[in-house]
Amino acid sequence: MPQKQIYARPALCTGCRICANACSVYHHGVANPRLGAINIRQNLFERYEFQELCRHCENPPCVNACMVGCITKDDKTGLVLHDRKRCVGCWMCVMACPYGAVKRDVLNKVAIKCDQCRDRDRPVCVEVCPTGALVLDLREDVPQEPFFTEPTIAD
Amino acid sequence: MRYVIIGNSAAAVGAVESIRKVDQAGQVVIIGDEPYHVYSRPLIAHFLAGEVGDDRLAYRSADFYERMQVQAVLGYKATRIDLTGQQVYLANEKAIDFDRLLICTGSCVTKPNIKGIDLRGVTTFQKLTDAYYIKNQSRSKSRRAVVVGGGFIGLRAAQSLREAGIDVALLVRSRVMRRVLDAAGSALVESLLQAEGIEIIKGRALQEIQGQNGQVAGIILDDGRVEACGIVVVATGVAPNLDLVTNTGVQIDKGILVNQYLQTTYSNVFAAGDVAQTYDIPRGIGFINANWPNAHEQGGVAGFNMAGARVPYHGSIGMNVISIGAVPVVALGITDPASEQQAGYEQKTRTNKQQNIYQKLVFKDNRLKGAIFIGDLGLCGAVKELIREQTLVGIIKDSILSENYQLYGFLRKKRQAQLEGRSIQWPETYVTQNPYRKSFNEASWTERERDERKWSPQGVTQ
Ligand SMILES: Cc1cc2nc3c(=O)[nH]c(=O)nc-3n(C[C@H](O)[C@H](O)[C@H](O)COP(=O)(O)OP(=O)(O)OC[C@H]3O[C@@H](n4cnc5c(N)ncnc54)[C@H](O)[C@@H]3O)c2cc1C
Ligand code: SF4
Ligand code: SF4
Repeated sequence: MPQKQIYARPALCTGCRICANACSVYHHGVANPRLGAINIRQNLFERYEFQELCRHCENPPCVNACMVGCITKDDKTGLVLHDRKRCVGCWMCVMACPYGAVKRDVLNKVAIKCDQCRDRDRPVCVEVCPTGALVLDLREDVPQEPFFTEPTIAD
Repeated sequence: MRYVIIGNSAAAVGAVESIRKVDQAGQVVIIGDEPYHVYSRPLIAHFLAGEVGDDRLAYRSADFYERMQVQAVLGYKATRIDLTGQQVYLANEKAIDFDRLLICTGSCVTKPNIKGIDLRGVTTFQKLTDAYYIKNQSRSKSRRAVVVGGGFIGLRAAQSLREAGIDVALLVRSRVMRRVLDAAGSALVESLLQAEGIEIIKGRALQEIQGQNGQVAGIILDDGRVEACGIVVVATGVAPNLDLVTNTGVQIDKGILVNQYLQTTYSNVFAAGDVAQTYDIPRGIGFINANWPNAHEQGGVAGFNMAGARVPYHGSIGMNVISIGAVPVVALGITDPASEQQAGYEQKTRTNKQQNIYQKLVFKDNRLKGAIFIGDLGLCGAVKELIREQTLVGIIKDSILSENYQLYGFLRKKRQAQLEGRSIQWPETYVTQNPYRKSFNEASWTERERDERKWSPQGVTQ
């Protein structure tokens, strides 16, 4: 099944965290990048990047881990969705996700996870990214992008 | 095809979901001795604490069995398996035929055989019934409870009782979470528990339980000390439920032995979850890793294989998470080399006493074998993956806890290699012969990465 995935093109990302802020505002009504489900750790000077964002894995470890059963893989859309209302904040999913894509809302004791803004056409983070570094594309196309080139080398 | 599953929990649900992905027509029967729709076992701790009501304990929605076309036989214990006749006998002597059988009977606590163990108020903490029982007892009776056993379940029981407003004493023989944490980690967890108001009695064993009119009144320790209490929760001696398979020809060690398709000695009989002894990735030997994620994953893999798809299971690692107050504790794989049989482990730690942070990595042969993250979870998910894949990490040993750019670079390369379908394994000879030489002062560099650096002239000229 074609599964779209958000990813950041390192050559364009400046590590500004506007995406995380937008995510937090859209989903929680506050501008707090720590509540955003996306976090691109990017440092052009040190030349590293690490994309803490949900891949909506084909065989998601977080679904195995969630003992409440509130993370499910939607068969139709392929999205891995999280039900905030049932989550008890046990952080099993935080431990399970290899990409650090699940964040913790410590105050409310619930996990924060990307739903690709399924009530919108395009996720807010993709929309607000000022350099156009964030893309929503088919998973198959992701490796073909210069996804992993050293950020200092031009696209 | 007739699939029969004994047990109705994490592994069973995983199996049903996988079977239905491959085979929509076959009959699936679940046998469970608990009379409830499938519920989440770890949640009973949250239920006891009063965090969630019993309407929120379900692990799958109420229509799960119908949706998956499962015939659920609940409230009956399976008493015997006839492996050659391919039948499972229930407690009411009814026989159920199977073509493929999955045993996921989980584990249970055996109460020690001491005086007073049958008194009212003495219970285990394993099932929903236990949680209801403790809740009832604590409502009417004493405001003080003793939890016997400092393992994971004991801790969860103590925490929940405390949150429910009951005074709790935790009786621990050696140290808290001995199996999943090292001594320093245990010490930190103990101090955190004490800060939560849980009393810890260390180094003593339970000798006798005193009663009054059939109800618990207190316990006597092996040094003669008496602790008054109205509830005793026994959380020691967790063992897999092997009754069904002992002396049937199914090979067992500590749990049921399975191959990488989770088949037991009989190729049409599978085992998964807390009863199965699977390949433990960091240890490289058979081991029971009794956790929810492992149970669900193993159930899923077993389900695929039962339905005829050949899906190998890669192996399990121990993974535990517990939050004490606001401090999260994650333990992965081998955390305490001192208690392992082999030698040659290497450790790296990072501690910050003020902030209750303790992180530890355990390496062997340049591979990650285990980790502890307390207070600061860091990149625990990525570390779990490095353990699971047994990637050679010699080159980034020093970078993982400091989370510096070499770690990110390594993870990025690893992922790229994965996407291209090859795996990068740093040759061991490379790591040992060309040790990575630092061109800068690593300690101060790390500080700067974390914006913590105090810019002293000395630091700059280095
Ligand atoms: C209080 C508590 C808290 C926990 N918290 C966590 C946590 O936070 N994270 C985590 O990873 N793990 C946790 N665990 C462990 C986790 O619950 C287990 O690893 C998991 O439930 C294993 O699932 P399973 O399917 O293998 O077996 P189980 O969940 O043990 O289920 C086995 C089922 O089979 C039934 N059964 C047994 N014998 C028979 C028979 N002869 N006939 C019919 N039915 C039978 C049993 O009644 C039971 O319902 C916790 C456990 C407890 C008790
Ligand atoms: S949260 Fe992590 S494990 Fe779960 S689907 Fe997203 S990337 Fe995969
Ligand atoms: S934190 Fe929430 S979503 Fe994550 S495993 Fe626990 S209950 Fe499930």
